[in-house]
Amino acid sequence: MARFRTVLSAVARAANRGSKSLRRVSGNNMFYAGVTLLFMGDPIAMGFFMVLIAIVLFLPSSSDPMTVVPRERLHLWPLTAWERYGLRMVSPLLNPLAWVMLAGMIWKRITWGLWALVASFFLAGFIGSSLRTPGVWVPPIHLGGLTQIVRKDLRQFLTALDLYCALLIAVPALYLRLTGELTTDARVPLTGLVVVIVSTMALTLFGLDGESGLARYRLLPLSGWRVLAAKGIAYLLLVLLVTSPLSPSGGLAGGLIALAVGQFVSVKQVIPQSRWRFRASSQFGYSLAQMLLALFGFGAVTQLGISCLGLCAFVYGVSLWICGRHLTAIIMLAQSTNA
Amino acid sequence: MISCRSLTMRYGSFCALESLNLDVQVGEICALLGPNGAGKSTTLKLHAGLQKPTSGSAKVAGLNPQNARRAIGVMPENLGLFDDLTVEEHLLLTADTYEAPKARIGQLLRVLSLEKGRDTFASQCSHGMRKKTSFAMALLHNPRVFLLDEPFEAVDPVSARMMFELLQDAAHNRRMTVFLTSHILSIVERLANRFALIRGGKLIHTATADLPAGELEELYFSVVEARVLEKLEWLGSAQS
Repeated sequence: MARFRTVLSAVARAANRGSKSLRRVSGNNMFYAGVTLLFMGDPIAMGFFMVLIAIVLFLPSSSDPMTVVPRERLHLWPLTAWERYGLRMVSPLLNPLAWVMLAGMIWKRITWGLWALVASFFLAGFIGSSLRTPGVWVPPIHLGGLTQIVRKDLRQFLTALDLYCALLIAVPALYLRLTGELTTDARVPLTGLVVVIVSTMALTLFGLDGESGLARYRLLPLSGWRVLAAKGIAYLLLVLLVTSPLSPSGGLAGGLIALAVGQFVSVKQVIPQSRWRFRASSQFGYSLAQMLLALFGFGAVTQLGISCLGLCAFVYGVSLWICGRHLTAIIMLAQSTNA
Repeated sequence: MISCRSLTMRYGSFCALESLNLDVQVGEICALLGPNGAGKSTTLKLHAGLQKPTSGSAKVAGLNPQNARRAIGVMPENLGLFDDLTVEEHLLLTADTYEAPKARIGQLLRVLSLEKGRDTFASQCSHGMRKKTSFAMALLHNPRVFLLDEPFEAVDPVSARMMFELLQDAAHNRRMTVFLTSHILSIVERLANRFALIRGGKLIHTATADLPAGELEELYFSVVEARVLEKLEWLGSAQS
């Protein structure tokens, strides 16, 4: 029994550490925007933001706590068959959402249909987390020397929950667009919303490359601006994807400005990120500036016309030139003193 | 081809490398040997341009490493792989950026037994496969200098043999320079022409390859660190 308790507490500790990474949503632009809306006296819009975040967070939060233990280690521990069986039965209760689900069963205001829907989501997250995550598929693209880096960056962005939050708006918008129910008036604010949702991804461009990836950048004969351009291409492709049912030109303008500010922050400080989590930045001032400027660029295109897109591209180009030089100097010339 | 003068690297108050002076000639295979934390990987990183020395200089082909990237093929300590690229995509990336012929990729995958895992993401590869991928990346653009950090560790015997022969051929027949670190003395004893033994960031001994077989291990134990002879008395006694 002592062994069982020791293993269970170790699993609980590790699962708790893993779930802490989910709380990093507080460094996300969406969170800042939600709080701003609350202070602006718009609790409905703020509530909408929070519901979006909650839906996207639900799947990773439902993960099986046992996945934090390497399978080999689990097999090697000197536990009896009963202890293993007990561990399997008890470990789901280490997930706080399991308790929420149990509470939902006895709360009479929740219908069985709604409970079953939420439970199936929980179950999908629970079982899905036990499966080994395959690499994300991306369509074949050909961009010369940057092809493989763009593919890698696309795969990295595709593991950001921010993108799926944006898709929660884009997919229904596409449906409404096809049925002719999406008015032009509704498209503009929704595009702005999507631009804000995906903007944190541009603040943390090197967050998933790790020390190993950064070492490779230093070794490859690539100038800094090309590395950033590859990331920019991948980011803008996804921005175009999620804003295509809404206002692609406005989305592109917002994306270009978000990148112009974001790459400046990304080069200045590498903030490590986790897969299948929201991107989080620790620089509130830059986040705020990025959101405001991106919305300004997006607003200029939607209000003044598509010619403003050229201005946004110019701003991005200048940022690319400056940050590219900075990247070459700081990252490529290896002034890092990491051991 | 490779030279360092008074090469010093400090991390805060910790001195990882202290006034290292070393030359590796064209066509030579030099093995850097020493215990964990001796400064071997730091020496390679400084020559690869992955870090900047606190003082002194590291040159490759007479240039600063940052300016000699095309001349260097590196297999770094952390292997320099991206989790989101497959084995083949890593080689394509190298071929694209160094403008190397892509026909070499298939050949490298074959000789290093990486063909079956060519579509496997680096994050899902075994450690040995990751090592071989990094080795293939170092080789692909046909550099003049190889800097390899523990290339043989965790690699299967057939692939290790192939890597051994490739390096031997590169150095002896094609005048390429190899600077490597390793803990597998039995392999480096047969591969290298010269051994540089370091401890605590200082070069303490150099030896050429004319040592009798098995002598390198004895030299290592006598010069670098003595074997710990303490026995674990509890081993094999009643289990706890």
